[in-house]
Amino acid sequence: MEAIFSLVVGLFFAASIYLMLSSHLVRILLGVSIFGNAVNLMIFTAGRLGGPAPPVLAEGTHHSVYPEGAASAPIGHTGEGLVPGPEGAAPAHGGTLAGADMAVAPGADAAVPSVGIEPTGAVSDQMSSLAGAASSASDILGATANPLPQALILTAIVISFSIFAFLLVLTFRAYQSMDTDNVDDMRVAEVEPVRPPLGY
Amino acid sequence: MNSLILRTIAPFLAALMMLFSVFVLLRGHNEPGGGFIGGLIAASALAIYGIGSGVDTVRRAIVVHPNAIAGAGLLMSAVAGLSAMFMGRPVLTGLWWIPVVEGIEIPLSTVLVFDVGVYFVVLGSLASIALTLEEGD
Amino acid sequence: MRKLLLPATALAAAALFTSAAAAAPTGDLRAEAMMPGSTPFTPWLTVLPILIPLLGAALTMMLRHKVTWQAPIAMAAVGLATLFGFLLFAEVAVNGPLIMAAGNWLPPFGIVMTVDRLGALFVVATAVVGLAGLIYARRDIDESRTRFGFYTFYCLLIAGVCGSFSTGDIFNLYVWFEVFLVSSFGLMILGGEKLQLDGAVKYGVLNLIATTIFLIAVGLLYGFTGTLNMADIRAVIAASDGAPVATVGALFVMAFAMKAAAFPMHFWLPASYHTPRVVVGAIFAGLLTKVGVYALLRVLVMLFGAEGELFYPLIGWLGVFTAIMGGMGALAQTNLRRMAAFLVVSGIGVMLVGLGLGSSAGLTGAVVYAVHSILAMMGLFLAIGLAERFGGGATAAGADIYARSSLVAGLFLVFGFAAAGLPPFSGFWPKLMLVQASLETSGVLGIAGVVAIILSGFLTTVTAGKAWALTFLKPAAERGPAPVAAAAEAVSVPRSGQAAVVLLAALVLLLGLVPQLVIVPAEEGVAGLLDPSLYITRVLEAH
Repeated sequence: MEAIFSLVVGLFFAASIYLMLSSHLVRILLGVSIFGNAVNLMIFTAGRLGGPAPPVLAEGTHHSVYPEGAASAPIGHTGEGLVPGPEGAAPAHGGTLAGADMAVAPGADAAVPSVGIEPTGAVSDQMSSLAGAASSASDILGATANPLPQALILTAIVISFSIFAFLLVLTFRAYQSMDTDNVDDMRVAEVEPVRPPLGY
Repeated sequence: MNSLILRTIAPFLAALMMLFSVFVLLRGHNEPGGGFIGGLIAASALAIYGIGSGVDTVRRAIVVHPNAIAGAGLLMSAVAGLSAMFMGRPVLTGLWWIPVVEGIEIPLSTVLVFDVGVYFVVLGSLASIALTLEEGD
Repeated sequence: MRKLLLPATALAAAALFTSAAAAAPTGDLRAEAMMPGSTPFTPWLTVLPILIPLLGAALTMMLRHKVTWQAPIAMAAVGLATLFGFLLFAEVAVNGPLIMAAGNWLPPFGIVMTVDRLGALFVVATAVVGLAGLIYARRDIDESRTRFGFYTFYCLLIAGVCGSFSTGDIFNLYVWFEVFLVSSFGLMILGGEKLQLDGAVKYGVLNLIATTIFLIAVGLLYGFTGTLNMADIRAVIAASDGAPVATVGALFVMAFAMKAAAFPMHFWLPASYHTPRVVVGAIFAGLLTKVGVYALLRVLVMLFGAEGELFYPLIGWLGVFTAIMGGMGALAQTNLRRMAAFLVVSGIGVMLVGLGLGSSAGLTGAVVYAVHSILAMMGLFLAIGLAERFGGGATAAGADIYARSSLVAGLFLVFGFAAAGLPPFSGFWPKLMLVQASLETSGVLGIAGVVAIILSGFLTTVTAGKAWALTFLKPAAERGPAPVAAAAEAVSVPRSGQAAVVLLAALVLLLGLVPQLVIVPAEEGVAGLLDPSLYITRVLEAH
């Protein structure tokens, strides 16, 4: 799967760079847009393509994700008794646990440092290596998706969307005021050089 | 736009969408939803209302300028993040207050304030763009 | 259509803020319950220089119709940020890196704001020039530009730059880059003149591509380290052998070199920095390129450690060419602002030479030069802004400024000489340090570094001298019969503007006379970059 996605990302990059090499602003903008999408897809692939299941657990199951004495957990202060039970501290939200999905996010990505440089691929593997003997963790998580790349992509999408909107308006305004969308003809800010004075 | 159907339906549709946006905003902490998507829905409501009934009507209806709404939202979010300072917690930490009204727990928190702020930021800035686009050309 | 520009930018800024917060998982009660002790106030110093300008931006956006309130609000926000910046600097200087885990998500999971000595030094410099720019802007920015949101964007820009210097998370660094990028777009097109649109197109597209390349690098780095926390990344890379950092490093170098306007990618800067209001050009020249240099230092030296040394020769040679090309470009210009823009590029080259040497002395020189350049380039642009009030925008036309205001003429000369590296101004010491460091380096690069630094200094001196003679000293021959009348019409140089430039000139002189004020923190900061064990310990054991 990763190989196919990598090829697609490469294709996106090629298309966007080709478009960005044009001297017409509209094409450049299209190129920039595809460029952003290529990056998003690339981050998605970099986070490993896990299973289709969302990393949200049913209530009560998150006890076993970080058993006592796990190496590191997101919400730990002392390192002992890392995740408090919902009955103790959490307000009575119905349904799934808000914290649970968040708790997996850092956990899944944090596993790698403890494993070593080579990513272990599936999130479940990472989880189980994090929790050590806690095989129950991988049972619960199964083939869930890694949520962190999705958070990153969401951020990147929002940013590139807004900047793209800005650039679109800017291009339109520039076209209106300079009557061209060819950047070679945009010579208002960079006038042809004048010879400097040759004497005092 | 000169469509009788849209002109008639737009106010109702906008009102419904507004209501739905608040619903989406409030369910966001535990289920899909939240300030961002809520703000998007609310901004679309204003945009539809603008298409149906004219931009001036919308501007009168929302009283303050959309940019001011966005500013207020930014302020709310920033203050929600800052409020943890007075409780001796790190920035953006959620502080909870759960009053019990007639036996029902109502979980209130700075997280909610933050999300409402995001709602206003998105609503304000997107509405500002949409209305300007509708009113020009 | 012109009205669209502000909302579009506002949306972008707003979206960025949301995403910055969305990336930081909001802490929950469960996390709350686990914190028996309370966090003291001190770690808040890491975020206050960011949050307060952000609050200022929110307030100015909210009170957009109260035109007279805008400047005081922004001034109060940036002033407070300066105050907390100095407190942060003092705290970090004494106790080492300061961290705050946003939303109580302990590292390496959540976003951690981490300020070490290097970051604190740059935060202070940012806040100080931010304040000077605001003082200048009081009379430079008219009512319509205030309505368009000058102060909102300005506060956002300061928040974004401070955020870049304060974050300990590589993705968060990207978000802060975008925050100040978007606000700089807003500032760039303020007024919407043809000239500005032209500049903004080039500036916008090139910078967007640069930050996107940065994002690619971040994504790949995450792909093979599995973490975004800077301290954790360093730990992972140091523990691995043969991590594929070369690809990622090349992307980082390209992105930051583009942001910093290094030699083959420098052309966007002189094409755009002269187009906006002078105070906007000044704050860009002072801060934005230096963020690129800072990020290069942070990523190559601290994150990559020994693996980053692969890129030092490349950066060194880039620096050599940038320094010389910038100087030559400046010499050829007839527009004073464009000349100053090329001087910015030349200064970036000098910093990159220091970075390329890779030795502790070279890096320290680069950091000291960056701080000097923040102050001097800001001052140079503002001084040119004052000169333009006398009609002296181009070198070709004499404006006889010296006879009409010797103060303005003198201020220009101060910054020109500071940029050239002449004593007793602040540019002298870092250049001296860099030349010494180059001489200690064996190989061709060492010699090239010495040549580049001295040659760029020489070219800058000639440029400044030429500009001074032709614009400031030369009488306005073509102005006509009545120089007295000309003098009377141009007297309106605002006191606040002069005060801002005098403040910067005083700082440049102070740093020239007492260079230890910067050299000592810079040495400590570089030591922290080269051996970030304390940084890593503080972050990863922040329980």
